[in-house]
Amino acid sequence: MNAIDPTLAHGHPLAAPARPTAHDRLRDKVLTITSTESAEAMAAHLDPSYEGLVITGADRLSKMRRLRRVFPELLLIAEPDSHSKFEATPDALWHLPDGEGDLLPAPTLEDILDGQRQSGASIVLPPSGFIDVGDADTLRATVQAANKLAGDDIAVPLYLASGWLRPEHTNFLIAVMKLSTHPVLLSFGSSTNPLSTGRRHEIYRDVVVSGGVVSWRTDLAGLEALAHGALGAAIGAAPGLRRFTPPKDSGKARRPDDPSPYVMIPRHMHYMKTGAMREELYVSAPAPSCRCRECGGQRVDRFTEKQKDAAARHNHAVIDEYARAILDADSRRRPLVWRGMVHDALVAHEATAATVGRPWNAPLDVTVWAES
Amino acid sequence: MWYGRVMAETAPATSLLEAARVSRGFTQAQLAKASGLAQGVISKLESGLMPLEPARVATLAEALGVPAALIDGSTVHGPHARVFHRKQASLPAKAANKLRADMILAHVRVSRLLGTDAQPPAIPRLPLTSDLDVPADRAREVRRMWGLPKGPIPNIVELLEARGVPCLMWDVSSARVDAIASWPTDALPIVLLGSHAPGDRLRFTVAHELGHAVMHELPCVDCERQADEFAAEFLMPRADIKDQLRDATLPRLAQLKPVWGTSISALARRARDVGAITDSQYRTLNIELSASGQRTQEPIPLPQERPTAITQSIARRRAAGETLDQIATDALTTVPELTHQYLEAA
Repeated sequence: MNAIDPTLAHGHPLAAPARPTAHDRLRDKVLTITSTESAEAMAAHLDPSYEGLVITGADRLSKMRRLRRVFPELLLIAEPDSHSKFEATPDALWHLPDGEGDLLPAPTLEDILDGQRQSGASIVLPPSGFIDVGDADTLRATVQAANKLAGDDIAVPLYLASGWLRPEHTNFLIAVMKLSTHPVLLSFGSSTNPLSTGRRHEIYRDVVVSGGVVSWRTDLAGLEALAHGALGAAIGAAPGLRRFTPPKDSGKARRPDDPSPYVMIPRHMHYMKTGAMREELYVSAPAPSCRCRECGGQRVDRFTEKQKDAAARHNHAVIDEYARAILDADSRRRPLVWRGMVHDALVAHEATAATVGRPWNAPLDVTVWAES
Repeated sequence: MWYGRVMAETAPATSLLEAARVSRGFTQAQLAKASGLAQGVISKLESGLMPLEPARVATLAEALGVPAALIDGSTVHGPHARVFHRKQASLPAKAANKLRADMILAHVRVSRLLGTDAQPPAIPRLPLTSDLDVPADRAREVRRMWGLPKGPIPNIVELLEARGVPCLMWDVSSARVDAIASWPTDALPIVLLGSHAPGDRLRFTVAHELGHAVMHELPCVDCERQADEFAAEFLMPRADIKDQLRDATLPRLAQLKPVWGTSISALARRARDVGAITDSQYRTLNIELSASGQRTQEPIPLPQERPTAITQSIARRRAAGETLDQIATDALTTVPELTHQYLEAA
């Protein structure tokens, strides 16, 4: 039996246990970003102790309400889609829908946040807009305006053009991230890969880690940042959710002729379309089998166009293994753990190249992480 | 009078002898040979260790082709100034010294040429105080403080001169810069505009130098980049230009060049920096610029903006009855130099 608290014995009131803030809830969390259609199937695979689900799409609030009933402990966030259709300016920082006369007045920012709360969101997000490169006024104003929002369940998503990832902006970005009193969810958008060069990778890590933010709408770069001290990471279950496309741009698929899903090859840190695996890589040798809970020993190149949800769950399982290895380590050892896994991926590429009998390079990001 | 305080705070007078010598391109040994004085004597005169006796002054003045009054110790030289210029690392020492000497003499002469026409400079000091401040903020603030309307600045040289910053056309090509500016905290600033530079580049450089004056006290690692960012926003405000630059092509940039008074290269860079074109489009534009030879010689040359403050002041003095000889004597220069450097060049 617990000992009696002496403060009670003297009649002093006990302080209620502090409710976890958004900061607390996001620290060391690896979230999965998914569409409304795939949300339920993914939710069942998540461990609420260190994972969470971000739901995107038009019906995100109703989907979140349903999921909340089934998963009361799971960290749930509904991400507004404002960044995909609205460029913020100093005069219009948030994307607030128009009203429909007196009967249906336009919702306020508070109405939007309350709508998320009432739908079961663990953390609520204001509807931020896209912020183009160098628009320091808007970026600063967005954070300052968010700081005025009351509530410790708020996080501020910032959707920046990939052009911000230049050396001249680094110090400013870090300073803005530190200015925020709410946790920042930082994402970079482009019609192609926003982290297209080694330099951009380095600046990205610098900003995310030094700024103490959540690496948002990302891929393994989020784990790299997490290993080096980022607040958390939110990894997209599909290519379009691992970055965002700015308004007025259209996303460009790398292999539009191949409808098969992108699948993470275990131990390689390498996303590849299963069609390309079958036709280009594993031609003279069979694709490796995978022992994750989704695959259960089946080959990784089996996923077809109609099995994108299953492929996403496999990807999650592979990423989860990396994430647990990082989170299980003491924070000082995490960079070493990550570095070890990155080097393993490089070695795995060499081994696979030898097996399939053709050169096969690791992705740029893996090479950059290995050299950094 | 506004200059009184300035003069009281300036460096030892004898360095005007050194400034005159270096400006003429003489080493001490060459001046010794030309004047018949010992090199050691010249060294001591320059450093103030030996008095400037009239006979020696006359000899040296003749050898240098300057009025004796410039070097006789009766006049103090220009104030200590913040001087910034690009490519410092690659600037040859001899060229840098000459430029510094030219600037010292220009300070002395311009203040005398303008006389009571000189206005206290109205350049705000707005240093970047934290990483949350960016140069574009300062450029917008200066535009606001000066009441500039949206859009292009028609004439930045005129703008600066109207705010008490006299400009001079000068041969600064040896220093491989387009312009050089001196911003004393307590005296008249001066901008020497490269007589060799194309008009569009000169405008950007003047805005760049203004950026230094507004933001910087001491040279710093990021100073040049910050001054460039200031100049870009000052001449091409994001809010006014972005839509015009969307998906820009070289022909489009060529159309915009005379509108904004900046080079095609600067417009292309601006397009990338405000997000109007992608990095990939920017690379393509640069390849096209190089391949077509337009990087070294851009089409649609723009005329240089010529300064007028000093020529107008001289004209007023002449209209009031002063001769060129009197004005040159007052400015501690010669009539040919006054004509060449301060009248014809402008």
